[in-house]
Amino acid sequence: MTTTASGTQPPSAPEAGFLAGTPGVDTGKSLITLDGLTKVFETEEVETHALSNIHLDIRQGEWVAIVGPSGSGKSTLLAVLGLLDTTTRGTYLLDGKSVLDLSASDRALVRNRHIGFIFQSFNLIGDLTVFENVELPLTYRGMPAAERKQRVERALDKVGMAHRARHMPGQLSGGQQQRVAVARAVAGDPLILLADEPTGNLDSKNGEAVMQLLSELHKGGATICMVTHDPAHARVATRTVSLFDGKVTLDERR
Amino acid sequence: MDTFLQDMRYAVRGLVRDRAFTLVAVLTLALGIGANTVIFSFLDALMLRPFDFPQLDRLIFLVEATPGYARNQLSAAVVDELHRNPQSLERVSAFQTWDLNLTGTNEPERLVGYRVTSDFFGVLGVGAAQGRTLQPDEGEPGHERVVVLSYALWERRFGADPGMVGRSVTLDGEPYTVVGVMPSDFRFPKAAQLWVPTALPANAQTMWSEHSYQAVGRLKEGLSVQSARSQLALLEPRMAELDPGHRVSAIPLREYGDGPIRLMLWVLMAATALVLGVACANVAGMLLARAARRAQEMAIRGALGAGQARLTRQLLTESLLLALLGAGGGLLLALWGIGLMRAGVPADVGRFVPGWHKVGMDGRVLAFTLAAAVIATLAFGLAPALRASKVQPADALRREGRGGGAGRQRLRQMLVAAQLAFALVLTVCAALNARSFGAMMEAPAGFDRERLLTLKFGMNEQRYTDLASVVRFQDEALAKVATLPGVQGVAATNNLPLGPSWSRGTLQVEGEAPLAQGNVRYVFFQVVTEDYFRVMSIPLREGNFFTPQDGPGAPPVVLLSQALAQRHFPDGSAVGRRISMNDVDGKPVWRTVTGVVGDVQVATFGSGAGDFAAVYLPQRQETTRDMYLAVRTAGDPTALTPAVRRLLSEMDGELPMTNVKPMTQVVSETLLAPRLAVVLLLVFAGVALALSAVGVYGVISYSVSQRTHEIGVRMALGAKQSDVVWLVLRQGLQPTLIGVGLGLVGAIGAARAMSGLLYGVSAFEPVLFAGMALFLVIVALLATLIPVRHAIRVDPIIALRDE
Ligand SMILES: Nc1ncnc2c1ncn2[C@@H]1O[C@H](COP(=O)(O)OP(=O)(O)OP(=O)(O)O)[C@@H](O)[C@H]1O
Ligand SMILES: [Mg+2]
Repeated sequence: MTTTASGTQPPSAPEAGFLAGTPGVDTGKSLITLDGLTKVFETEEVETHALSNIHLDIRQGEWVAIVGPSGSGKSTLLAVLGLLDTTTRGTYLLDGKSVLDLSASDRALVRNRHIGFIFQSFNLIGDLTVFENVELPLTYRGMPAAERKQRVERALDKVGMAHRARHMPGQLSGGQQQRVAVARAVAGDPLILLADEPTGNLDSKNGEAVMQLLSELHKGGATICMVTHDPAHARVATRTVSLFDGKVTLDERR
Repeated sequence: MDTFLQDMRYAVRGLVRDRAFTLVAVLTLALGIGANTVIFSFLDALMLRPFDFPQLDRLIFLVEATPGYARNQLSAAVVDELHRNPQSLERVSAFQTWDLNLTGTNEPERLVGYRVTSDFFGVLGVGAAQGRTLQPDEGEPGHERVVVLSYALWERRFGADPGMVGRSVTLDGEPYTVVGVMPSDFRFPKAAQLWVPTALPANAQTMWSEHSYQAVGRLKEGLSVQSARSQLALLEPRMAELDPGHRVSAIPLREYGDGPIRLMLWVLMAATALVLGVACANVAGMLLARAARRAQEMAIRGALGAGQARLTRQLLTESLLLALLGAGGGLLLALWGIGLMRAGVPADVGRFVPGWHKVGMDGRVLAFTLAAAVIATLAFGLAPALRASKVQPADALRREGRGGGAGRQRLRQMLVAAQLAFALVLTVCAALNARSFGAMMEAPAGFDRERLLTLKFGMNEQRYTDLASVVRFQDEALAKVATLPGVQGVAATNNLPLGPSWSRGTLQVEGEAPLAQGNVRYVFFQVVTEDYFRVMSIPLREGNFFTPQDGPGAPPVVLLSQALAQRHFPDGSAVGRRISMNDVDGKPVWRTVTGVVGDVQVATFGSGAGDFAAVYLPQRQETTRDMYLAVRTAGDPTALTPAVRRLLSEMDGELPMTNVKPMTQVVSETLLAPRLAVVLLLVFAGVALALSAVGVYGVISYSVSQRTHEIGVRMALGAKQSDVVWLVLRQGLQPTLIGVGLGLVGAIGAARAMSGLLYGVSAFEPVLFAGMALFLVIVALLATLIPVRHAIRVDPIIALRDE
């Protein structure tokens, strides 16, 4: 286990924490590379540096937990990773390709093909059945119906919700809804799963179940990037990135 | 009462709080209610109670029906029969028109008078305002020189002289004693200006085939029009023998007026009802959206112990208040609208419409408006109130529920579908009428209406005792007018084409097999002077025009219109053949065809539309005392009015001249009713369309605002802009297509119902229907554009935020 960085490191100093090639650490290929990434929100008079000069390299098969106090920039980082938001400066290579200068429709395409989202508040669409919810990203991809059906069934099977395919989200418990949301995220075989406090709206029992599910996915080879407040959950991940005031203050791999 | 006042207070407060909502809702309702009030005020005055006679329901109007013509005048024999054996009628009276000249101290005047049998005023149940009405024996010879004046004539012509009763007036050169003046609102029949007594001719019993009477009857207490009809049917066997093809029929007096105008009023009333329907659907949609915003408030009220009934009542009170405000606005709009419509109809035209003078705002119209407001309240308020009051009190404890809006949204979509359906029906009706009106305007009338001055003049029997003197005067008048500077030609005719009146005769063609028993073939005819066709620019197709030699001593001649000639003489052999337009002593009067002229649209477009069959008779052989002068001018025709008038009064100081107007105005007055219908229908359709667009916009933009987060989530999952656009459009498209589908069905029915108003366009025009449907879909889609723009600007990042 290697530890680098500290909370007092000056922002100008390069982050030296990416121990690429270090023995004992995952040596999968680099999936996400952030370089000097900076996000500034300009509101009226104040400028908020939500992210300052972030360098981050996420490799295939990693499970990254992003932690930090409220307002430290976790969600902002996740939004940038998920191409939901733009940046002020820096570069972002996803699977070796720069994705910051894409048009809105290309970003939609990348989101759809390569990124799976899991939200804190599940965000299932109330008017669609469980099956249709999971199917939705595949529909946007223009996939033929037969293939969609096969994928949706496989995804629901993975999360143990196949028997609820015809239900409406309103008829499910919070934990079940989040499992459906996980199924929706993985149905399209994304490069990376992005989860923003996936257990935040769940009680501990249901939270554990979702973590269990993510573990299984990780074991199956999924790359996961997860924001969490819960130190116990962070420990389950293979790597913890701590943010403070928009900067990476700690990056440790297990 | 106490709770009502409390509800009212809440309602006022609620509406004041939501000022923008209140303003839009009240304006919407004002438009709907105002339009209904305007049309109802006309419908009520012209159709529901065109006359103020006591027990109007018991009054009937008697006509003879023949195949193709429902309302012919009665023969003297039928009137005689009715007088002697009134059967189901308590009393009955007949009357005849009498166009007369009033002369005396002032300028001579042509008046519309009626000769009435003695019980006329008794049947109607109306007494005189001054003096008396006519007495039973006054129809008898020696007593008949008495006259009852209309109020309007008394006021205008005699300066409302209170000593008028007992005075003498000169009618067609004869002295008549004024015995009474009728009340100002007594206007029957039509534009009657005076009434004189008459008796049936002594040999009335045998006069089965001369139809010159109309009759009114009062049903015996408790009997229906139907019972009168079945009793009248008893006359049929005898009529079949003596007057084949005719039968007597009874029509409620209420329906005395012009058929197409009545149909037009019903169409307009239905149109405004649809407008109100659209308005109500709009307001209902707004109330539903508002109810969703207020769900929490309602839940809290419920938690505090208000039952569903109480909540419903409170919401309905609010709706009632809205409707009353709308009715208030509607009344203001209606006052303006009624004035506008009245001003759009020349007095000349209105005078002939029973009840026209009564059109306006009165107690009945106010009551109607109030009723409309109450009905509207239920229409737009009930469903939202019931729905809103169903909120479970437990919801007060819960966070805003997810997905619960689906049902509400479905109801709103149904409302949108309904209003689009209504709007489509209106749009199609308006478009059909506009097409029909366009066809009327463009229809080749067959003559040149520009630079043509027309006026009507009549020659009484006192001064012009024989027809030769009539012809002499007309010859001289035409010759003198022709010499006026700026006059290019002048002619006279008994009816103007596309004018206010026309004549029909029964056509027989020599050599053709006689028609089956009881069948009659009516054809328009016109009596004209020799120059008529040249002056009107009607071309000669075959043979020759009339000449001055076609006089009373010469063999009778006629000209045929091309359409008629082709119908009966398809081989082009019309000239030289003989036809008859009337019988004398049961024998046809044969007239030789000397020529064929171009087709002319003779009658109005309402009845006999598109019928170009016409016969022309020479004025020298069928001399008529009431004629129109048609003066073709080099420039503005009205500029010649004073000169023509002066010239004619120099020839005869007592010659009455009326209807002095350019031909273009004559035609436009004939087309007034359809033009008004088109304008009104277009306005109503426009209002309905605008309201529907607002409705579509409302429901879609509300839905987009409710679904912002969902849209964000979808975008996070990779929805492209086009996916989002489609998501929103689809939501608007579904109710639109349902509404358009229903609307098409309704429009087909509506078009069929008003086919009697249409000219040159069939009631089912697939292209027009499809075009209007497409137009509506486009309008609906345009209305979703703003919400679509909002939707595609949703930032997907909100998916990460908690709602
Ligand atoms: N749209 C925005 N406009 C302005 N400032 C923003 C915006 N979004 C986030 N910020 C600011 O950026 C900073 C980082 O916010 P972010 O949401 O990433 O924090 P977080 O670490 O996810 O916090 P939490 O644990 O509370 O979710 C905060 O100071 C926040 O106020
Ligand atoms: Mg956050």
